[in-house]
Amino acid sequence: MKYLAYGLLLRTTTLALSMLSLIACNDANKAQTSLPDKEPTQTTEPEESTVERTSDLVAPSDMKFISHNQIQLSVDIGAQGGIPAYLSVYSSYEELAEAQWQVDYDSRMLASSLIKDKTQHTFSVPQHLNNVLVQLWFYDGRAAISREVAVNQNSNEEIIVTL
Amino acid sequence: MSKHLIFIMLLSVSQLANSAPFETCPTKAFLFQGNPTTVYGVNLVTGTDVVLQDDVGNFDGDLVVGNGNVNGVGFDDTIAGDGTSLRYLFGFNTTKRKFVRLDSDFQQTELAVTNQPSGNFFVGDVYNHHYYFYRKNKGFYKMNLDEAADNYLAIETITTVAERNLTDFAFHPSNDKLYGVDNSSGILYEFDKDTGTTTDLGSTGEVGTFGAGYFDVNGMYYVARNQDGKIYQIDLSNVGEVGSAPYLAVLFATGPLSGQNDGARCANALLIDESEGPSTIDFGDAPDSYNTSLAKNGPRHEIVTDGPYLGRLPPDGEADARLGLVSDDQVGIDDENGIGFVTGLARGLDNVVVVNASKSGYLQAWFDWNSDGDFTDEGEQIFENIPLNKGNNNLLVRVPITAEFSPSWARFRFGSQTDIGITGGAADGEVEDHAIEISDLGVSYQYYPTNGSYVTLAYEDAWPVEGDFDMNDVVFHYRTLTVIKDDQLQRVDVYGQLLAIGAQFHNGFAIRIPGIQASAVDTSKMRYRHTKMDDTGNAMTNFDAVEQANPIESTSDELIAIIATDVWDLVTTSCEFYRTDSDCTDHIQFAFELSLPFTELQDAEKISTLYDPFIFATESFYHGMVFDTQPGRELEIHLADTAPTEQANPDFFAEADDTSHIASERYYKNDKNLPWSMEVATEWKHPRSGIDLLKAYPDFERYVTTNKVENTNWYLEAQRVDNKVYP
Repeated sequence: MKYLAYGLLLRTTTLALSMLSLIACNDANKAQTSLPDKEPTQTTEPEESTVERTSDLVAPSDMKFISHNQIQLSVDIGAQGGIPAYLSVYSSYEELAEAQWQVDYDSRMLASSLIKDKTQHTFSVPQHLNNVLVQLWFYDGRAAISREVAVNQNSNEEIIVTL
Repeated sequence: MSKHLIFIMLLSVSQLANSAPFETCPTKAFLFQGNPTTVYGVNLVTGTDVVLQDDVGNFDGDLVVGNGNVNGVGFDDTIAGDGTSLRYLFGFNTTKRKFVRLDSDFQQTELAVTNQPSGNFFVGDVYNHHYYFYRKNKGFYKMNLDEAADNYLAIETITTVAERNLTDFAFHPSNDKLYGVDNSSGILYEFDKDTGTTTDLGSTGEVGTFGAGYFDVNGMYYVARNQDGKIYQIDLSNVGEVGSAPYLAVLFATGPLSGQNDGARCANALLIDESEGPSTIDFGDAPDSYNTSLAKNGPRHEIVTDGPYLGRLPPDGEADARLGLVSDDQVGIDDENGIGFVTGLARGLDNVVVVNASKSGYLQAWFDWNSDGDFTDEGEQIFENIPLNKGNNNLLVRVPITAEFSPSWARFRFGSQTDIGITGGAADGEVEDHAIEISDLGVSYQYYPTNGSYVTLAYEDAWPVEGDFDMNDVVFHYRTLTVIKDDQLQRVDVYGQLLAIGAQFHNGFAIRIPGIQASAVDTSKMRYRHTKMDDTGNAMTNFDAVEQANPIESTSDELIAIIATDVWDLVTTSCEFYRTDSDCTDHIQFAFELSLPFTELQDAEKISTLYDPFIFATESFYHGMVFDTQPGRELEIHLADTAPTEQANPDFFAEADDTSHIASERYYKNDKNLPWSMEVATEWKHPRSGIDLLKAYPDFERYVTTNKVENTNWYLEAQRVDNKVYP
């Protein structure tokens, strides 16, 4: 049998990160983030269900019955003044005090050493997750930079922020 | 009658009323110290102790002030023919020079012995309902404890030749020999109980006053040294057999110190017996080549209230180590969370490791830099007695330039004690073993869902006939790790556990790595391990001894790993199904770990988060009326819209309820676009047998009908109907 193309298509969301000390976005950045709006979400009033069994449901034809989305994370650490650095993304964490995060290290979703100022990373996020913590550590003893990032699971837009 | 006599009579009645024997063969060792005697219960595993009794009582009519020092104690593990427990402790009160029996409340009763030799006795033990005792340069004796015997409590002299300088000895649980360590020479002696003849078994390597000696049921001999409280283990499990010597004393734990010790223990007891209550001992998780299990004197810590530990949560107790594949995190509390490798472990750099401590204490840590399965090579202890403060402590670890680029392990031990080794017991604190990976710069690790949790894969196996949508015919926990270097694929890892089988059909489980050919795998570095687990979650397979079969399907060009050809072979159950009926609960029995490194970097474009996990029909088994013959490997069931592998039979598609259409890349859906399998992004509770998914998770309806716009968290705990899911 000939090889059949792998057909699993994942929704791709691109998400960009501005690190803490690379703070303000200029107008040009704003312009780049103003990509076409996504289709407005249809708001449907919940109706009394008449469906008794799963077999009575009619699903959209493109539904995959997987519960994650792919996220593209763009990171620019040029203003931090020095590589290498190390990037991690966590799904479980707690803010103990302002900018002080206690991370559940078993909730790591992405780990990557950075040897360039600008990098892109793709990883998957469970669809029920709304936020992740992005953390940057350096090898020279500097304090870590942490940033909580919202994950827009319903967006197909590519959002690019240039710092 | 005087008031004095009345008091004595009342006391005597009271003592009789409380003179109950021990009901069981207890795990704790009993340590008798001082004058008046204090009885401690000693946990040999960790060296911790608790006072069981500080007043062993007095004798009827005894005029000697105080309770005296009880010594030479042994535990009699005798049960009468009618099942009555005769379990008592027997010893010698050296102050009053009387032989005594102690009950389960550690109250002493004088024994009316005959033929008592003069002098004091500090060395004794019990075997086969006889009390044996010894004194250097005086003799070796025994006394029958059977009340029905003619010679009950009559002392017999076995020999007057007694040359060994002992302070305790103990009977082996599997033979009728006594063992003791000569305090002066450190030589282990074996005693013939019938003749008193001693045999020199060689030096243990340790000297001192070994005032307490105990056996466990496995034949491990433990001796506690009075001067420093150190408890040593001597492996006598195969004593006398070729190759079992030398019998060296290995530091096992640190217990209480004393100038006047004696020990006794029920030698037929396990060291940790959870039937007595949950274990309060934390173990490591690394494979046993790192000496992790109790049998290998693995690292362990007594869990102490308000004691020091690593991470957010105190550790939970275990009966033994989990040994790698099924870590302690997967069983009980997720407590292995005190260590953060926040910069990874890049070779040649100073890497940051964040260690979270519950309170101040001392840290020891070892890294297996050369991945040879131990922490004993030069330079592998990285932290030694490092004081930690409460909270996060950022520590630097310089990874040697010679470290191997490969998965390995690190061990962290934390507690109030200093100088804790790679192995052995500790009185408080926690041990965390972590799988590590030494890498080069520029490598990315993508974990799904995370490095410490699973998603759930749920299959209906009636394809191409529509199933009953209880989504539990085959259920796996599943996790992936994708390793990327220079935007290309370097390695993929998969971890899983078989969660449920609700199917009468027989199915296999496999994983295809999309877009990668089987020939791309570096089989010399490939790793595939699986294990069966017992009902406490412990791995039942010794990975060090078992090289498990190559799972790559040899008849496929595509890279397909066969985890099981029939999932029913992976479990044992007395039920019709496995873990789908709430009235018939089984524990999770099978876990696997697959690592597929590639000889050359691969194109990562076609790789997907889950790769492609699928089930297939087991060869030679019926798989539904729709098939004239057993379909076997040619029948595959993948996630919706995932193409089958090269092994699948295209003739099976678009049959019965299936509406697959190869040209339009539509697969495994019915005419309502419903699937035969799904991925749920949590460790999900699947519906019970015959329970429709919608009854268990009502929010699934709007999730589907709104095309994932609403109820995207339909599978979480708050959304489920608890009595509809497998608990």
